[in-house]
Amino acid sequence: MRLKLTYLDIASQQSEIVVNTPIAIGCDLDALPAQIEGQNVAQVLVYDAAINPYHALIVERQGRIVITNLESDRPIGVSKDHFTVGQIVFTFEVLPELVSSSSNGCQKMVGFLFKRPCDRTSRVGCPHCNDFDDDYESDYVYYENYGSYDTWGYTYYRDRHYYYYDCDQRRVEFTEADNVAFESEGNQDFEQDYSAS
Amino acid sequence: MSKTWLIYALGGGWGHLNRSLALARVVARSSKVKLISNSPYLSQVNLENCQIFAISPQASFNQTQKIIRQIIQHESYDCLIVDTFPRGLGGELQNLLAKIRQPKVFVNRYLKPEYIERYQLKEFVARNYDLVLIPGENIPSVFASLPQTVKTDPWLIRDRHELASLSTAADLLGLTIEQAQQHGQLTVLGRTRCRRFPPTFQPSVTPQHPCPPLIIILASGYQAELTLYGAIAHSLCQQGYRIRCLSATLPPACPSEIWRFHYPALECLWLADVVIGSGGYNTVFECAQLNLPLIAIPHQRLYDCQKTRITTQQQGKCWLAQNRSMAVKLTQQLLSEIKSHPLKPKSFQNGVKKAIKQIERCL
Repeated sequence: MRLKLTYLDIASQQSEIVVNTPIAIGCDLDALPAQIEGQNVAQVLVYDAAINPYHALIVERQGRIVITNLESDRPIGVSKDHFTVGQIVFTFEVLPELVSSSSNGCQKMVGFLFKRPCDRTSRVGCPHCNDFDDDYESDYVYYENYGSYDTWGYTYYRDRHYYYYDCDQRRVEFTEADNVAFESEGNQDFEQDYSAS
Repeated sequence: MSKTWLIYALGGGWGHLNRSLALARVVARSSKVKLISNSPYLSQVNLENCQIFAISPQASFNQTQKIIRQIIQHESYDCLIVDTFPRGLGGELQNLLAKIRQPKVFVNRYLKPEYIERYQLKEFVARNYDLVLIPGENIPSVFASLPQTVKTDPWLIRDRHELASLSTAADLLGLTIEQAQQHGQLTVLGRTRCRRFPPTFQPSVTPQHPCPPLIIILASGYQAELTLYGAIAHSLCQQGYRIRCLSATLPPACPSEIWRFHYPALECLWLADVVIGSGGYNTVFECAQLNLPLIAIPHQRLYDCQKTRITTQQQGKCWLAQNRSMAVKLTQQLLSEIKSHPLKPKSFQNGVKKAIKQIERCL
């Protein structure tokens, strides 16, 4: 079960985390289990005088969450959307499960702007598997820091008019496609640019 | 008293600067050389004892034009050598040349026919220049029919004996001696490719099995074009090739461990098995003289036509690749062909000395 937990930490700042059950809550990372019965355990560290090193464990039973106080080995009461561990009140929200692909299709990510699993069941005729030049990763090498909006997207959008023609420098930035497209075009802008060749 | 040569080498990129320096450095041994350049790479080259008039590439059109006029009009010199642009890159020489009494020499790198026709350059050159030198270009030139025209071999920044030794070249490219010995002499099925530079180099061990070939990417041209070479380096690296990328700055996406900068690249280029670069003058002719297979990508230029230069080169030595994917595929194909068809040897010819003799006759 995926839970979104919201609580106030020691600095009275609201924290929000999304974790899967089982979830161990305590104030000492070393005391919290990493696995229980072969399942990975989400570890939530909270600092409060009333919190034990390994204070509580949240598990899912028949679609409901059950919280156990490890110190007293007694359950902790759960209200509609919140519960209390020590002095800290946790508000929770049950999130829908992530759907995992059940198909046997290719999991290679394809597409440039909107990446998605290829999902083809055969490599025959697949342009992405048979032609390395169309490799999704290698497409990205043209665009340094692609995906980081702050560094790439912002400057790309800001300078979008200059990718074709820099009117100050009178210089055209060519792509490979431009190379071909302009090959036969006569450029009449002679003797205007000292950086030309 | 030694003469003073003034060389006009305006233009972006490496080309005009490198070709002019190839001439200047030999002349500078006995004469004084003044060179005008606005190349952004000026600070990264050995200036070969020349007096440089460096014009900032950021200077405005009018500023650049004014500085050039001042130099041409007020500096003392015994001959003026103008690279590529007979009227000047901004047309600023048009009205100056007739007033210059010293011998004037035009160095004819390829120019687009539209430019030549628009300004009637053949007549202009015939009227204003005492000597026209065609340094190695194989493309037919309208200036070839002028009586003052002389064709020479390509002008190269180094002579054969000045190429780096095996150990130096290996060091420059970040290879071990053992790795370096595997290159420049691909051995397949008991045959060795007939290309050994420098001539004194004799491999002590002949590899018994094919070794990973060394691909050198010469990433020159405008800054924006480096991205393409970075992408090619990235693609080939992923396929396990041994690659070195030579450029003034690290191209985007190029793995930093394969990037090197050395000027002039010609010194260590001979170690390559295959070169990937542009169709620019220096790249094409350096590879041709070293008998290196070149996969050349034509870039758009206002006055030059790299595609024409590439396609005019002797077949079997220079291949045209329109884009990254074609360059990568050609590299794979070419490497397999090299194994079965060893390239023929060719002597290393530098046309600079012939050019100097021709110019000295005018003085």
